Amino acid sequence: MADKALQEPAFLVLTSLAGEPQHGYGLVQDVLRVSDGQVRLHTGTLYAILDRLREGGLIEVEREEIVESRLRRYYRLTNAGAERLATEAERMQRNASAAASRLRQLPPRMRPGLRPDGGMA
Amino acid sequence: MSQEILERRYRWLLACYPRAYRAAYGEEMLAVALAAARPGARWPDPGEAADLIFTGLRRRLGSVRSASLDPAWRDAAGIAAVIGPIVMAAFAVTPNLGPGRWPYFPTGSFSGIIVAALWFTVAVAGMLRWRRFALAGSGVLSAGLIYELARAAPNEPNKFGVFGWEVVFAALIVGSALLALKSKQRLLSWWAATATAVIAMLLALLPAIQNGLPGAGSFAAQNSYLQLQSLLYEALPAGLLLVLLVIVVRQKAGVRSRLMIMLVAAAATFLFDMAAFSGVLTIEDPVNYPPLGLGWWQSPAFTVAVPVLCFVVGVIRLTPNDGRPDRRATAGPGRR
Repeated sequence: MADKALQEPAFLVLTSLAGEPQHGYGLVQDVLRVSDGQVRLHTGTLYAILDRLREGGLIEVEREEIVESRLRRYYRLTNAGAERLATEAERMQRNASAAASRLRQLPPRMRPGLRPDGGMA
Repeated sequence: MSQEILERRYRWLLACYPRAYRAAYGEEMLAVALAAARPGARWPDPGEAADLIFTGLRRRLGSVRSASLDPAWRDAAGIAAVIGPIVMAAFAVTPNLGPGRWPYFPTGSFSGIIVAALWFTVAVAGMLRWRRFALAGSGVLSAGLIYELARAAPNEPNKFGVFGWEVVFAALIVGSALLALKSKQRLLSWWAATATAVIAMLLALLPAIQNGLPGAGSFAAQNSYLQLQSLLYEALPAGLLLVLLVIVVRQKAGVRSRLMIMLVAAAATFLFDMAAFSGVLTIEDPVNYPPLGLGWWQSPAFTVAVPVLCFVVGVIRLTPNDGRPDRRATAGPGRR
């Protein structure tokens, strides 16, 4: 798992858990928030991701609660998960910088709005 | 009340997942799905439902990649990639068995024998673990079969309804050969393959032998021949079934269940097609062409739907710890 790039939903789940331990529905809502409403995880997809991340040792179960007679399981990032998220964020940042740098080399008429710090407007 | 109905429907959808996976995550997933549902909803959100079905079935099947890495599927496919071509060879060579004559080429030519020989070559390649050769051979022969059916389609639109099962068999064989590509071992003994081939060929040739016998002869000789013939018509299929059963039973549990899924899918397709063809499944009303009518059952969609349905039901029935250790069974909360 460490060799392959994380897919966006898995990256967003790790990002969400970097904030604080979350339960399943909390993750769905937080990922929606973090992604500016772009990524809405369905239940099946979410648990496929959680299962994979757990298997890779990137997250673990923190605690379980019963709320309104429903099971609520909280997940948290492990040290390995935090390292992996940091590595992935760096990689993405490098890629984004490279893209922004190339975009700046385009003729002005083709250049989309770039912020002074190199990010996209 | 609506919450209970919705919960029940979500539980139905969760049945797509393996039992052990449901034990580990089912209640939690249900809670998330219910929390995400619109207030007062009685039916699962279509996107959520499709996602649960898709991810659940994918979990059961494994992804295509993990399925190809699953040794039990690989080994079962390795066996099917030998038995399948033998059966196809028998049906190619027989002049009368099945619903037509010489399905590949015009009546009376020897092309059926050539096709049968080619299928046998594919079966031998499977036994010798020449996996790529077996895959290429079964692919070419399947393409030839589809080409023949497509070529005949304008003049005989019902031909696919009659021979559709052969296309399904061919597809199963190609799929098996593909899945068996990385299989390292051969679980089918030479004697079992030979016994299957001999019985299948005897069964295939029986009508030809009968047609070739001179009509003259004593009454006693004819009578004894007829008795022998009726005995063989019962004994040979029974023998073939017995050999196949022995082959299946001798496998490990995981391989056995996967092999059974493949064989049941193939057998159901054949029986369904034959039953529809012979009118067993029909309540025919040529004027109104009703559901359950001859044309309805002979629809190619059914020929394709039957094996797919059998396969999906079989895979759903597969328990994930069937023949291999199940990591879910030991994956308690906070294990890591």
